[in-house]
Amino acid sequence: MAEKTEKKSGNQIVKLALVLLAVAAIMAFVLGIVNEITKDRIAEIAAEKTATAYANVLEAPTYDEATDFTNDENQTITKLSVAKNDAGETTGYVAETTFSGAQGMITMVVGLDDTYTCTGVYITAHSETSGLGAKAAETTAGAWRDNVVGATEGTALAKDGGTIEAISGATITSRAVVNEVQSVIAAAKSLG
Amino acid sequence: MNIKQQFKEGLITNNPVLVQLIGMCATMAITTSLFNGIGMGISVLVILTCCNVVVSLIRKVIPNDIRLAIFVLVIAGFVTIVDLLLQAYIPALSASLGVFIPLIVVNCIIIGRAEAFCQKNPIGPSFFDGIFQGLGYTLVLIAMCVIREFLGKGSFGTGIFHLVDGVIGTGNGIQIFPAEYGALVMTLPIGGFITLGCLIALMQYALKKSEKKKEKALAEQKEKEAA
Amino acid sequence: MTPKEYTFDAAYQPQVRAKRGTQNIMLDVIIALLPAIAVGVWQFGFAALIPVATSVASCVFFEWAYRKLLKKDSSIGDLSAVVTGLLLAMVLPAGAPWWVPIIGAFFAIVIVKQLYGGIGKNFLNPALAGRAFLFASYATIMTKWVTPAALKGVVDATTMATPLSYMKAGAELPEYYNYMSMFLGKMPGCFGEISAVALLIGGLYLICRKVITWHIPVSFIGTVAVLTLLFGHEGYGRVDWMVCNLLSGGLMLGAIFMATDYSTSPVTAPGRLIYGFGCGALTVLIRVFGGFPEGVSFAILIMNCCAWFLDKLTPPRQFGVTKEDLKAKKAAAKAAKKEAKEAAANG
Repeated sequence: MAEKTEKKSGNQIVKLALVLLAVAAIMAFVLGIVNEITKDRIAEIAAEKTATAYANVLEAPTYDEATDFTNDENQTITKLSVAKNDAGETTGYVAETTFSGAQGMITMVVGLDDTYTCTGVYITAHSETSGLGAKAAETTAGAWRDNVVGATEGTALAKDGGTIEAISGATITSRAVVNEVQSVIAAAKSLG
Repeated sequence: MNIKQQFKEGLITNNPVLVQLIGMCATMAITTSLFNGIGMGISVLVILTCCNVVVSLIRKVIPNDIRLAIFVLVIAGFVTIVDLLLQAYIPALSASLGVFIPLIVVNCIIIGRAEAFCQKNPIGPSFFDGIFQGLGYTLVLIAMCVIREFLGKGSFGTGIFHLVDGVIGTGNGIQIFPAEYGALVMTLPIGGFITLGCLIALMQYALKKSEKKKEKALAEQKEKEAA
Repeated sequence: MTPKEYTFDAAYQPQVRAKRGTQNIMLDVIIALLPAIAVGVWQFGFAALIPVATSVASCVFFEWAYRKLLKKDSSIGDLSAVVTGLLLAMVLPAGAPWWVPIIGAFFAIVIVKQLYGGIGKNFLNPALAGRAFLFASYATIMTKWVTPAALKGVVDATTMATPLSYMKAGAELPEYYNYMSMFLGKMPGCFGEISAVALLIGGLYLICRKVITWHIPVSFIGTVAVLTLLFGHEGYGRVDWMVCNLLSGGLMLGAIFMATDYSTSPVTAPGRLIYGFGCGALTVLIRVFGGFPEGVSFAILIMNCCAWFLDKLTPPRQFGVTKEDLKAKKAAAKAAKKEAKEAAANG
């Protein structure tokens, strides 16, 4: 008797697993189709976004990816490219970075010219507080990010003894952005 | 169960956020601009309706033991579909709602309605349940957005009106009073808690009042009959 | 579920009728605030009374309007709304625009006080909650400090930094901030917080009139004094650091007028001592490690939330139960526990 019920529950489990498998397979199939339809467009949008960001911080006809740079201790620099003009001469550097701000990770593109001076920053994704830290991502003329333009090695926030005024009420975000620019400068210099 | 009653339940007497008190996390997190509110509301409405129909469709086939696992599978599938579609066709909305679109998977409204309603009811009512509950959710989001935006930034319709270059999701909306007079705290998470708390209190107050009225009317009727 | 109605006789008759009601107590608080208001006017001019007036008027108006709208008994006669309005104005920077207190008053009276049931039922100090709301909303207005009359000749600017901001940065205090000037109130700050001496006079009056007991102010200020003396700060002498911490910011105002609010502080003496200690410790922690130079208001608001717990933790001894009784009861409980443990071990 006991054996029988056990056997029955064994069958039951197989049946449950099969049903679950079937539902999962159907959902996966549907997802696959949707993914196939949207894949190209999403990639296109992402590429467009990166291109906008690159052009925004440092315009150049070609960007050659560099691999042999020294990353900072938290590995915040995800991609470093050397900007070259049509003659193939180096005009500057562009780095894609991901680092932690006040509320979460910030994704930012940083541009440097060939004297390692910051030509601009462009935040592509963040979760900072709206009205405070989110001001770092504003791209309108006269926004806070313009203060970072011209930063060189060693430039820091005014509160840390430097020259850049922090966003009021968002020192942590401002400091994170300014420090990240320093990391990029160090990484670009390590290319030699 | 007729459509009229379902409509009333979804929007008022059994409103998912203000009466059932489910799905509140996203409600407080994203209601900072009208654009976000409408976008999130419609996303949830679409996902909820699809899930309701599918769950109701397969309610007799799925074994009871693993129904929750299957519900979650179905919900996760639809959420991912909507997420991908938004990324591809309305990137501005996808960017501003961020992680809260994928998080709809764990939004109680959807699994709650599947468990409480759709697995016991046929497709028709389930479909309308999805529409009306989704509408109820959207209305609360819109109310919260309008209140928080107005008090916090003095504007109305951020991302919907006064667009920059006609791109949806940009611009600051219609400025009703200068932004510097706005109580910034209302756009912060604290403001979400306060606004939602006040809305729930208001709703309960109104519901209680109408209930009392009904009771009174009923008592009067009885008295008349007795007389 | 409706709460059960309890009825009980307070004592055998005849009873002596006390003349003091809420109105009397509130009147005493208003009188106690007068010296601080006078110093505020002396340092910031009569124009500084404008936010005070709008604050009081709007607090009273919101209290009246809310009760009227919900068809409840009017409660403006007890003067508690006037006190809230005065206290709110005291903790706003002198020279704040006139409309700022109105928003604070709405939050304090409607959201914090009336939505929870009105006087005696709020769990946060309304004036401080109003200040916190304004602080989070209008950071620039709430951190702009007008130069007081006493320093007009010394400092050539309409706004200046408070002693606390120098202390936060760990910088040396300028010469014009000495013990005496800080004690008298010759420094920038919130309208009612600058003069320690005026606030102490008000506090003594309240204690003499038995409106408040000494427990909370003494343990609050004492904790701040002891902690700052013990730990000191880089670049400051220990005593220097302690005195500066005691005299600057809203410590006196908070300890005497805010933390002692009846409905948001514990009722028992030991509870009040612990409450004051908590306020003091949090104040020092926020001042030293926090993001803001001042921590008094947040410390009190946090401890407001713990008041119910402190009341539970320190129940007063029942009438007729002696200390020996309690000891015996404790011993018996201990013995019973031990026995149960042994029984469990054996069986």
